[in-house]
Amino acid sequence: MFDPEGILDRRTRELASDAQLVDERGTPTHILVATGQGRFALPVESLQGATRQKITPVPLSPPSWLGITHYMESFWPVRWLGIPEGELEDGLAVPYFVLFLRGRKLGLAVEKHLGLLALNESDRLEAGPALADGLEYLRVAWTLGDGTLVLELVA
Amino acid sequence: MKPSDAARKRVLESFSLEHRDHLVRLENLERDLQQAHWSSETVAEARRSLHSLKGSARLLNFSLVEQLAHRGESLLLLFDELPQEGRRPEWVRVLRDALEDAVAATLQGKRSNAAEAAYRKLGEWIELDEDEAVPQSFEGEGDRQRQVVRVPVNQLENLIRASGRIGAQPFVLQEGLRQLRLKVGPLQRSLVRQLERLAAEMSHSTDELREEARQLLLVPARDLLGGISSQARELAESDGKQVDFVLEGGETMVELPLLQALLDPLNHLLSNAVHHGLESPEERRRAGKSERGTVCLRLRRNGEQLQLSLSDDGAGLNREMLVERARSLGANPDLPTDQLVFIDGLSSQAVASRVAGRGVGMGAVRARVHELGGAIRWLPGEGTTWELSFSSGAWGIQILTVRSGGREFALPTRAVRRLRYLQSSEVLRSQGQTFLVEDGERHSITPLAELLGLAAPDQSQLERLRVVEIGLREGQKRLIQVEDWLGHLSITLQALQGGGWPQGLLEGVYVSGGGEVSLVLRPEYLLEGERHLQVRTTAPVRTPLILLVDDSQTTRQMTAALLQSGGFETVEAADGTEALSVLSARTVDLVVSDVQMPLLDGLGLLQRIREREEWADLPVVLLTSLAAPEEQKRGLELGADAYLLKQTFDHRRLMDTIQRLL
Repeated sequence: MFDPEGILDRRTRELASDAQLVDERGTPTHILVATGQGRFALPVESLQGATRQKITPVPLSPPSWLGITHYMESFWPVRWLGIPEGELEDGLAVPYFVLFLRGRKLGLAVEKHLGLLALNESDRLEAGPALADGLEYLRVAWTLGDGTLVLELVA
Repeated sequence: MKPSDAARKRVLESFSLEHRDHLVRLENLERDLQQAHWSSETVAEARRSLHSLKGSARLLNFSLVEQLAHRGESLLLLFDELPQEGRRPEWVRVLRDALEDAVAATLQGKRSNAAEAAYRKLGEWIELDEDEAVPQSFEGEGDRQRQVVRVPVNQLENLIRASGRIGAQPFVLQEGLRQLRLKVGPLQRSLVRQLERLAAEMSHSTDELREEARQLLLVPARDLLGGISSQARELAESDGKQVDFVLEGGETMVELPLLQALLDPLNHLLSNAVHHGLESPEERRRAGKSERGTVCLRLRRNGEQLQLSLSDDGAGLNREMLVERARSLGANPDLPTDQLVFIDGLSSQAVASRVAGRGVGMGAVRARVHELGGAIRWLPGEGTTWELSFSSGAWGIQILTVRSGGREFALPTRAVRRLRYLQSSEVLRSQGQTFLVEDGERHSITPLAELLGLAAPDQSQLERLRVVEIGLREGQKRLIQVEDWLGHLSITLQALQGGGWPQGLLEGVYVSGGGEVSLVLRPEYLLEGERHLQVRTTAPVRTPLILLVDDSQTTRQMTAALLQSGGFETVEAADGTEALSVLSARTVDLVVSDVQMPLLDGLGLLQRIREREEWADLPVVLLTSLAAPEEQKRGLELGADAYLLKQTFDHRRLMDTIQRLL
């Protein structure tokens, strides 16, 4: 039987060889999330917060934009991370898990929060590519052996 | 109750809850001290709590609470240096109890002898000279002798919400009475008129009520900004500077939510003015200025606009430094000075380290101001002046909430002319669209769901249509059908930055009673909706053309006038042969024909029409004085779609028939 939860959990455990998943006693550097296109990690310090949020959809918007949410006394536009326009799947759990970017009024919705990572700074790519059209402010800073793209926020 | 009292109550309620958290931290410290295992972190936590409490009390002008917290903070700063016997848990308990007493007394507008005594004791413990007078529990008690009624905040909010809800009812009542007047006889009509006058008065009264409710949100700016003065002095002292702070226009009435939201941006501007704007006393002396700098916060209302300016008499923005920092950040250094300062990350770097932890850059200040629906600009001149302006209309804005496509949306009532509850017989349905014919004009009724690209239940069979008539200027009118209108509310509207939604779709957002984000649609977008709609409609809507065939010119003209007032276009023919010529030349949507005519009569015309394939489905209505059943039967057998008698002619019946056939 297809068990997406089990697959995600197993693949998360597999990450341990490249990027150490940390427990609450460790010092995490990145938050690991899953989207329709794979796994991504973002630096904890580039986030103002990350939490499950209800989102109000805005009519006539491109499918990559989910809508608006209210977080920390402020209103945030929310878009998908990693899922291109036109390929959205129905039935995703609501409320969504949202990463709120620090210094940029934007929330990035993901399908699943997998855990926290501690990455070694010395493995960072010197000049990684931008993530995708419309997400130019996110650059790939690490690529892990299992295909996880570790991102950083471009100033 | 005076409006400012009501608004102040709301702030006091928050303060009352907040101070309990701070007291708990002092209790933790006291407990640890009693058990002799206190840590520096517990002390630091308690000190941070006292600092926060001091800040809140200062903003509310609660002098005794502020000064108690200040002395407590000083006491804990010295804690590590105190001899072992000095780190007494009872000192912390005295401080905690004094704060609790002071807050309770202040909230009741009374003095607390116990708290004042504790204040003196704290002074002794931290070895202060006790020359200064003990602050009062509630500064300005003399000004607060006016009568105050204590009302729970939630009751106040309920009142404001209720005033909004009843606001929609006169709209509906007036529309119902209008329809009733059309149906009743002359005797009842005068009674209906009386009721209509009453409904108009009720509408006026509910407008007044809503405005009064809105006033409850207004508070004198000084109530929240009064504490900025001592904050400026404290900031200056920490930099070895001297400052005179001036608050002008402190009595200006400002919407409380706006004022609360402005505290952060104003704090940042103040911090920048003191740390970066004002020079050191030596530099000022060398520049021939007074050693004491001046920072001024001015508030004023300019019509619906609220303007705040914060200025200092320092050296002004240092362009060279800004250019250098812009360059180091990889930003364009050639931007004008007033744009350089807003570059993300630039101002944060410009802020000294002790402030950097609590502040944000000017870019973030601008984003926050925009989010509040305002604007910020730098005014050239001596020193540095920032001007913030807000449209007070955005605070306490009136909205109508409606349901469409199964979702809830809001429309600002500035654009709502009427709510209309139309019967299906009042509207015309043609080519999948619905129209209201009024004053000789056809107005399209567009479902809001359609304008917003949402799926909506089929409403074509509804007996009654809920329609919102909107317009922003004379002669502008758009009819928007909704599934339901829900209420009339007063809300605090917030603008929204960013997002990939259509430009101009949203006027703003607010948090609804259920805690979710609700969208306020921009009326301008809906008024232009015809354009958006036409993009999706494959064929443009054409006014139906009706051919009137009758040998009596008077009958033709009367019927033509009637149909034209119903929004149809007409063309006339005097007999059947002339009618066939017209049919060949023009695209006719329906034929209304007499039967008895010279040359080719109505039945002959009908027969010819049905013989032609392209006209086989063309609706034909026979309008005749031939009342015999066999005549009617013959007409219908030849393919007439309806057979109406001139003797019992009823214009509504003709219109209904035509609408049904089209």
